[in-house]
Amino acid sequence: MRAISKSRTSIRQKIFFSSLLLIITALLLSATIYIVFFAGTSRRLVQQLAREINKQIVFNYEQYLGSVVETGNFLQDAIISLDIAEDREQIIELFVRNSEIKRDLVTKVIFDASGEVILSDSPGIQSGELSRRALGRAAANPELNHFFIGPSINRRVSRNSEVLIVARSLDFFREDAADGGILYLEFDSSAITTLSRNTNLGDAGHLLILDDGNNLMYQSVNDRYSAESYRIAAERFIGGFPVRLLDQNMYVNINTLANTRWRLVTINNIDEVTQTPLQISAVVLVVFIISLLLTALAAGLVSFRISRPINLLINYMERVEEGEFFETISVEGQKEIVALADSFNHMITRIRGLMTRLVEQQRDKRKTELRALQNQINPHFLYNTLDSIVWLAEHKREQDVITTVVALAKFFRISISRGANFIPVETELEHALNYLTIQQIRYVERFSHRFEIDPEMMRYRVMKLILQPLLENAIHHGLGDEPGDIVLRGWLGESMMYFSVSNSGYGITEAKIREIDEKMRGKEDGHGVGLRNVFQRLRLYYGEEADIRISSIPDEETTVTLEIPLRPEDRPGSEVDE
Amino acid sequence: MKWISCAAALAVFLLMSCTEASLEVAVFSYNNQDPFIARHVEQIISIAPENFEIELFDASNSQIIQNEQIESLLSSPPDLVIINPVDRTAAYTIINSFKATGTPVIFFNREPLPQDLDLWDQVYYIGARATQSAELQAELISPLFGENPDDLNEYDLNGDDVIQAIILKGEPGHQDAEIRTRVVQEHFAELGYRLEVLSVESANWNGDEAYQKIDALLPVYGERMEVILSNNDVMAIGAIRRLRQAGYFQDLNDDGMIDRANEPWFPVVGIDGIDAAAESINAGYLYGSVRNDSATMSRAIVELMEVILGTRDGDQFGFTLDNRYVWIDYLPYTR
Repeated sequence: MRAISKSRTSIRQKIFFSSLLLIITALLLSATIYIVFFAGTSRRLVQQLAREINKQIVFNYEQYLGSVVETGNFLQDAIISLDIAEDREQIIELFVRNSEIKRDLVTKVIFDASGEVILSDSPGIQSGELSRRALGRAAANPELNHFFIGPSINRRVSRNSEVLIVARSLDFFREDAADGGILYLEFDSSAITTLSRNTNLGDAGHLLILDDGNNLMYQSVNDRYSAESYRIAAERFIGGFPVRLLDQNMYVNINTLANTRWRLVTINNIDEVTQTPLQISAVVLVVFIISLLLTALAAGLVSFRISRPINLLINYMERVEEGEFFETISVEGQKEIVALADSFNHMITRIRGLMTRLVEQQRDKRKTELRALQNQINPHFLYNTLDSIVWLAEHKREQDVITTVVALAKFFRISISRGANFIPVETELEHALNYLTIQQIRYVERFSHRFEIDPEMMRYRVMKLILQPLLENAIHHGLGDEPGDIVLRGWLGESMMYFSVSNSGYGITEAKIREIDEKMRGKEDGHGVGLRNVFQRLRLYYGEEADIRISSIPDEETTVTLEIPLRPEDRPGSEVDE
Repeated sequence: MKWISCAAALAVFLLMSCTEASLEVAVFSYNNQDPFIARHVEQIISIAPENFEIELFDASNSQIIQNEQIESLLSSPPDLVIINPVDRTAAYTIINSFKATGTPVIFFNREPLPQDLDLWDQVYYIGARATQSAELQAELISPLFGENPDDLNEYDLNGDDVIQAIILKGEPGHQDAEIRTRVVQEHFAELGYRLEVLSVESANWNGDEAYQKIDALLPVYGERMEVILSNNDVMAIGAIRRLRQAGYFQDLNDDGMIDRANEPWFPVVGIDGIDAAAESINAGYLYGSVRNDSATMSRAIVELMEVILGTRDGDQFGFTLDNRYVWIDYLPYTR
């Protein structure tokens, strides 16, 4: 049964592990759902935000570029109704007026088809590289009206500001003949670039503008990210996607700018938001571990509380199995377990009561048996005694007859003792003396006897009829052919009372002593009924301490000693029980 | 018995799905608020064979929205895309994006720049030549002044054998406005007629603006002008509204119609052939218009789509493919 219990899991383990498993599953599930959901949502939100920012910037730029185109159209419309040669003054005035309304238009130049300056409000601008560039673009894109050439630094104006260069094909009349050329405009683009720069793209976020040839038109900052972000922007044409830019997580968004053939690229720093799920995961992990520890503690406690009374009960039952019926168990805990313990206690009490009764019944039975034994009078002793009385009477030995009959009467009176089991030592000695008196008359001087008794003992109580069987043995078995000597001794020890019967004679061998001893202590009946009877009665009434010892000195004597514990009630003056 | 019918149903389903290996096509409209484009797109979808699964994207006149719509397809692109771009100058981004996914592109209605169309050999354009609308406009109106350009009839009001004209221009800088304004003048010359442009007024494609512009011009040119050439129908109808108030059109018998033989009228021509223009032409107000033939164009788009995707033989293509361009003629439209 114990082997089985070891191979199986205990209640405690079962409760502990199942509650732990339950909590781990619940925690893992909720943590996973939370992280996945949160990560997904935050990623989606941050990408949406990046797109919205990009759209806003594109919108700002398109508004601005729209106004640039409108200005170009307005000038074309105005110039077509004038003659560029004859109405020079009017056109210059138009330029001045226009600059007053649109203050960011800083430079206006008209080139003819060969690139020569016809009209200019900026004396610094000469035909040459600028006109060649503008004409080149116009030739390459015959279908476009406006060419956004790109930003540059205007060194001619004192502000030294960034300008956006726009060229436009221009139809005009020169000396009444229709002709064509290029209208070259420079816009101060600081307003729009400042606006873009102030847009929150996050730490190290920036924006680029590329043209259709992937030439860099504009970049908001020039730092260590620029080269890499340019490379990424040049590879893609439209759309948004996350990238890893050096040590940062960025979200790139590319959109077209209307009418320009340009692409505006925003690069938002989403590192912080990308990190957030990681931090959340870390927090969730910590919470997970703490909850797990708390759960383990709680589960351990609960399972301990449940299993402890059960284990106590099991230990107690094991002791009961081993035969200890003498304690009850007190178990505190769940009411089922307490009820179980109570029932068990009740059962044990019943068993214990039954066993005690059984033992008592057994002892009573033994006592009854032994009392019967003790009351047995050897009939041969009576016949022999009566025979010897007859023989004495025939020989007219009246005095001996009287002595014998008186001794016999006393012998029987003491034997019966009105049913008392324990009698004063004095009375027991008297009984022994009566027996010896009768036997001495019968066996006619075959033995002498003497008593050596501690006078202290006389008033102690002792179990009756314990000395006569020893004397009988000494007379029948101990004495040899020569007249012998029988000595009855009695003395007190610390807590014991001793009697011994010694007889002179051949003595007996050690082997014989062992044989007698074994018969005496053995269970089976047989020879030596007298000694065995005494031994059993002593053990029954005085317990294990009572004993009988046999010793012998060859060719000298044999001694049988009774060792009797002194019981309080046997001391003089105590009440007689029984 | 039940499992047999199930198996039969399954077999039929599998067979159908095998034969109907549908082709996915995405159609992008620049703005479905524009009735012309809305009808155009509707035609494309309605005449496409049934095994084409066509999805429509409306950019609501925003290239940003169209960019997002295109981007949404790039991860699992359809078999072909048909695009009416919002900003035709940005077409190179669209072409490069679909070149990367290997998806053929047919542009329509708004023509990408020629250098962009050359970026990849799987890009096509179907549309009308912008110049042709202006040419047809000139061809439509010039016979009114007589067959002989050197000796004009009574519609040359001042008898100088030169046609005095006012041009209503669309949005300045708009490709069509610039081309139509330029080409109509050029084509009159090509036809041999002398044209004097009294004024070119921009009304931004808008009827009310055209009304205002004519209102301002009447005191100056009211006596001299002999014809109004409008870049589109909407402006032409706006101009007619003002001319009716000024008595240039008079419905003398109140029958809701202008009878050109008996009642005063003035020649105004437009371009586009919208419904309102058709009504006006039928009522005798608008002299004529030039119609963008969206039905034919839709047919060309669908046939080209089938040829590209291999469901139609090349020789079954009813149009001329000119270096990945298919040109559809404008149609003159008069009473």
